[in-house]
Amino acid sequence: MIKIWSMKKEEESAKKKKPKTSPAQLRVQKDLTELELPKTMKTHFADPNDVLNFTLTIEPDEGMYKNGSFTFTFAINTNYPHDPPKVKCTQKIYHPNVDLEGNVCLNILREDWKPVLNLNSIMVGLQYLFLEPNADDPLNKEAAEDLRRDRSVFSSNVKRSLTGGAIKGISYDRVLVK
Amino acid sequence: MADVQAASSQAIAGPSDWKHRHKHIDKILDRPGPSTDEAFQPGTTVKTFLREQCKILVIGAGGLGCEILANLALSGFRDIHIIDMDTIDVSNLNRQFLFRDKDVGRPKATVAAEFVEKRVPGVKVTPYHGKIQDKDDDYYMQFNIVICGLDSVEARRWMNATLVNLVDEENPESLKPLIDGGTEGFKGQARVILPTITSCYECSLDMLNKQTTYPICTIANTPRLPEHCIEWASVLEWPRVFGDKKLDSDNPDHIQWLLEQALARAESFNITGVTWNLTQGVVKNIIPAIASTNAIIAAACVLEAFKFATTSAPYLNNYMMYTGNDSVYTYTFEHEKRPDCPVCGGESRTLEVRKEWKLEKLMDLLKEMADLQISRPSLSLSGKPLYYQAPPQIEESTRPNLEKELGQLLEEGDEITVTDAKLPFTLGILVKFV
Amino acid sequence: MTDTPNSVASSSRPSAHSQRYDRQLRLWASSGQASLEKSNILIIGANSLSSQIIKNLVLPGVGSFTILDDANVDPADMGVNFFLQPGQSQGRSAAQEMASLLSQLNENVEHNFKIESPQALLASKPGYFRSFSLVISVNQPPEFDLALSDLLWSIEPPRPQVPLLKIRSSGMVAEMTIDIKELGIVETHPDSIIDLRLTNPFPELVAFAESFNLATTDSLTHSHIPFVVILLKKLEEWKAKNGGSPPSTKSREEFVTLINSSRQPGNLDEENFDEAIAALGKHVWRPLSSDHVGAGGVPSEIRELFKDARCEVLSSHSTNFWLMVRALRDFVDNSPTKSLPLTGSLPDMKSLSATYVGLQNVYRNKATEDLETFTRILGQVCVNAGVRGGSGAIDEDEIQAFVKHAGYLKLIRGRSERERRERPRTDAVTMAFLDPVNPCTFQHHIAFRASDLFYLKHARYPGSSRTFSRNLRNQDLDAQGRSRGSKPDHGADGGGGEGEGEGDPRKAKRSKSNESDEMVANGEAAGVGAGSDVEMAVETCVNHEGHGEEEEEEEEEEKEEEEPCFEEDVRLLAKEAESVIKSLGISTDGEEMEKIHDSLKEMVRSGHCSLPPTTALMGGVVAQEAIKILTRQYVPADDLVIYDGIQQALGVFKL
Repeated sequence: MIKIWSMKKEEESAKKKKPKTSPAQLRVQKDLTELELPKTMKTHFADPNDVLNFTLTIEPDEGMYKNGSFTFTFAINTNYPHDPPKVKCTQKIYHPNVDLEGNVCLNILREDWKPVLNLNSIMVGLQYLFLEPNADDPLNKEAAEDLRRDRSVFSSNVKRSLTGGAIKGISYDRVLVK
Repeated sequence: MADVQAASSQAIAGPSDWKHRHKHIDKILDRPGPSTDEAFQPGTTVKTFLREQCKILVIGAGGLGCEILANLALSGFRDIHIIDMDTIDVSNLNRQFLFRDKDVGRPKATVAAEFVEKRVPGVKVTPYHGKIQDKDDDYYMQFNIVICGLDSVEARRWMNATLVNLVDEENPESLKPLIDGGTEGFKGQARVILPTITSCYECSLDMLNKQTTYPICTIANTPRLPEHCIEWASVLEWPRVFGDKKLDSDNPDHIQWLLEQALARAESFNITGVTWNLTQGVVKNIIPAIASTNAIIAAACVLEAFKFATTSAPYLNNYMMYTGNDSVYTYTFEHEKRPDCPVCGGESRTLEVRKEWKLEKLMDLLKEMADLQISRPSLSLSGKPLYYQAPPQIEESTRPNLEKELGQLLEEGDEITVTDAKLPFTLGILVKFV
Repeated sequence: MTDTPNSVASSSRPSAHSQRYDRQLRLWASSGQASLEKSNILIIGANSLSSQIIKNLVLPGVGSFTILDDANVDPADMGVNFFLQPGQSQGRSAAQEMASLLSQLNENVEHNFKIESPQALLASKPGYFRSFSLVISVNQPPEFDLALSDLLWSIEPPRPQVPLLKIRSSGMVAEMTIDIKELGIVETHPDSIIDLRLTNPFPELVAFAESFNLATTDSLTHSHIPFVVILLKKLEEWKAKNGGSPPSTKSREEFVTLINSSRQPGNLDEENFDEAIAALGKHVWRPLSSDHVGAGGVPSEIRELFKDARCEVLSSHSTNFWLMVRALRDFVDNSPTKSLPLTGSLPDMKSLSATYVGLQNVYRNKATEDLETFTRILGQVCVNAGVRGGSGAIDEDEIQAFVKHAGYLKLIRGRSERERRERPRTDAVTMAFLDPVNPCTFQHHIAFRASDLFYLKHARYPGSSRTFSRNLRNQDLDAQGRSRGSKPDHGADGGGGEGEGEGDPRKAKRSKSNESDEMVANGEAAGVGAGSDVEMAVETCVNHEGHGEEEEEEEEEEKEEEEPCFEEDVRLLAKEAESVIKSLGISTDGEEMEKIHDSLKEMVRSGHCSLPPTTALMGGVVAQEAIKILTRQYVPADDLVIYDGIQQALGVFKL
């Protein structure tokens, strides 16, 4: 066998060695402990020992979705950050970029994800969706149509949906801040 | 693990041999060449090591794995282990030459091992049909060399991290060369990783081609390509219709259902080009694969293993990229190690502590390490938080640990993972009770 | 579910055939597969290297292969050859054994063997070699390779040419030379065949763009205007402001500003506008339809084809490739913008479904129109050339593929082995030693050439005994010229069961070394006849530590096995290398000499031995090049490929 150990001994950094945590867990530790969330966002861990699965609650303090409380599940697999986390909205909400199944249209969750991004970027992106819903790239086509056609009608629809009201025959979950 | 080792130790002495069997390979082993290292011991010493002592592990018995196994056996390796979790599919047969039609459905590792043992007498190939994650450090410690012929980023990352973690400062045997091959159509790469010494798999993660994904709103509302319609069927329609039932891309009935949904959707948008083939390709993320590229990359990997085992020539430092679609081209270069690599870039220190000290005291000791400038460390053990500075819920739930004695929280030899916003790498703290 | 007629066939579940070949069909499609399945390949030399090559041809499903060799299985080769079965193959014909074991990889492939001396066959029945689609000569003597090359090179149309691949390996190095007279490739598989014609739009495209309004205030509409339309409109606007001249790369910034001025106020990240700016390089500054902005044109490589004598002078023997190149030339001449036919491909872009499909139809319709025009012109070209059936003589799919790839055609015109030897391109040799990026590999070619000369003089390879050398290649110097032409041809069906060979009188009459008078009879050489236990002494390996002693014993009984003196062989080989170096015009006072000398030493060390990883790697490279030539897809190497396993690098040189 080629003696590679002798090369190691020559290495100045011979002591360098990494702790026995998976790269995904390590990245999540870094991401989570360096989160700087505004008071409008809160994470919740059902099992504080499992940092790969948690929920995020967003309570916008401005914009049309003010007074709403929106919950998203985050599921991080062992291939993070090569793969993005899987994020879904747990409630049925009236939003142009969130469909009735809870799928979210946010570019960095899919086509624009790259490993240099982190959990913070996703959370900020999600919050932005509530401040500036995007009618041009809809997932809930009806909501997007409403927003494009008349912003004030849309705004009152949002208000109604937050209280658990129905819009065009579809009833939405009550998501008012308790 | 004990039984695995017992089984393989019987393999060393081949049952049969014949005159001139090793004549070709012995030419390389009987005399050094102009670029051979001084440490090369021609003749009996090197042959004995290669044929009687060297234990090698192959990960993956697919396109690359079949080639690697056959080639290792012919090259004189006699104690070969193979791990693969898959079973044989008919679409493997255009390149995975150790399998026949009658083998479809059987475990790849087992069939490959049987075939190589039959064709190359005296070689012991020990198969394991399962996941690499099933095996522990002791298992991986028994090998001299590991070769990966995988198509999964995730499995490679795991194997890489495992071998980097295996390196023990006190034990030269713990440093095992990892030879990694990969192919895609007419392209491929072979590389040599010396864990903790050279650039590792994680260091080069950003070189990977990204898998094609499409914006979910395009899929949902403005499909333009047949692929958009297929993704709509698999990403949005399947879960909507079947709920939690998992989509099995190997199940032709599932593909059929997706195809029908995608076709109907394509029709309504006047999009053409949805076919069975494309549906399967998109859903399974099929990567084209041919025998010739696999032969090339696998052979390069085996040659590197042969060099390591025999010292007969200098090893590859450390990356060869290969392209065969436009003429034939290789690019051989040294991929640089990333200092902040989360796998090999960290640093590990041993800290002598007393059992009755509280975790808080250990935190203070970390902050006192002047060269590191740690101010707000977060600590975990085996992936579980010991103390996190954030988010608030975890900070709260782990705060009581600060008051606990180290003897309660840790065991001798535990390694704590430390991160800090100011620390450009990850720190491992090996606990030593005094 | 409603099926369009178009989708019925392709939406059915795949056949067993396409399931098996799925992973390769995604590369060369059914057209490439069909070409592969029509091919019949001759492999000269039954050995570990050829078995690696054949494996990679049988797996993807070539039509048939034939192994030509008259030798019996060599015990040393069986130690490194995966397609021989110890306990079964010894004493039998190597060609037959290999053919049989390799055929088990794919029952769709017809397998043949011919037990005859290639040298004798070449002398007695040269026509035999011309009946294959491709010939691969493995580890054969240089004089044989040259004679074979001369023969195949002399084939003239209408007989199809037969490309020849010559391969040898020694330890960790190997090389392959490819003889192709001419290969016109249509499906070169470029990264993209998209041709948007933005700088030279056709009327229907202009009309399509005019139906959009960049100033619309509807945000959905605005953010979904295809980038193609944005650029067409902005190019028009620019030209109107600049006296009709289009923007150049120098005015890039100003042009980008002009594009950005049409973004929606307050919306700085409209993706369609980002796409427009990102497309500038590919589709405005360097569009395929013009060599420079605004001038309708044709890539210079294609223009070279137009000037070729084979395009100029057509006959009924002209290949489809040249007939279509000529039609292409006429098409461009007739085109108002002097452009190639349109490919009709459109990349995905931010837009609404209906808009995208509409735009796609504009391109597709124009492409269909161009294809029809091209086919009409091709018909005339065929008639003028005297090709029976006009354009109907060429398959519709072939015409369609040609038109789609008209901008990416590739012509390979190789040199013969004789030309390379007698008039090597010394400039290429000089360059070979100057690669700034990759390790140099060319020195090994010199070593191989020197080794050939050495062999002619000493009847063995440098670093190897005569017996070993003789067993490597199927050559028998003493037997040369002796007639062997009377042997029956077993090519028709070499298949047979594995048991068939037992006692078959047709089977290999001689083992590779037993006819040599100068050899002292020994266990190996004397082993005549199938299944001889003497030849294939299967013995129990008690302990490898005793290997050294074992060899000493051998030497006592096998005098000719004595290993040659290393230093002496290096010296002798260096002497042979001198003439090679001189003929290639290499300066003898540079760094080159150091590399060459190291390579010579490595050559003597390895003595042309077969090292399994090297033969496997070369097996991959050779098969891959064969597949590219047979399918006429992708671009084969031209014309010398060298593998250096020590440095892990492949080099390609045109000698």
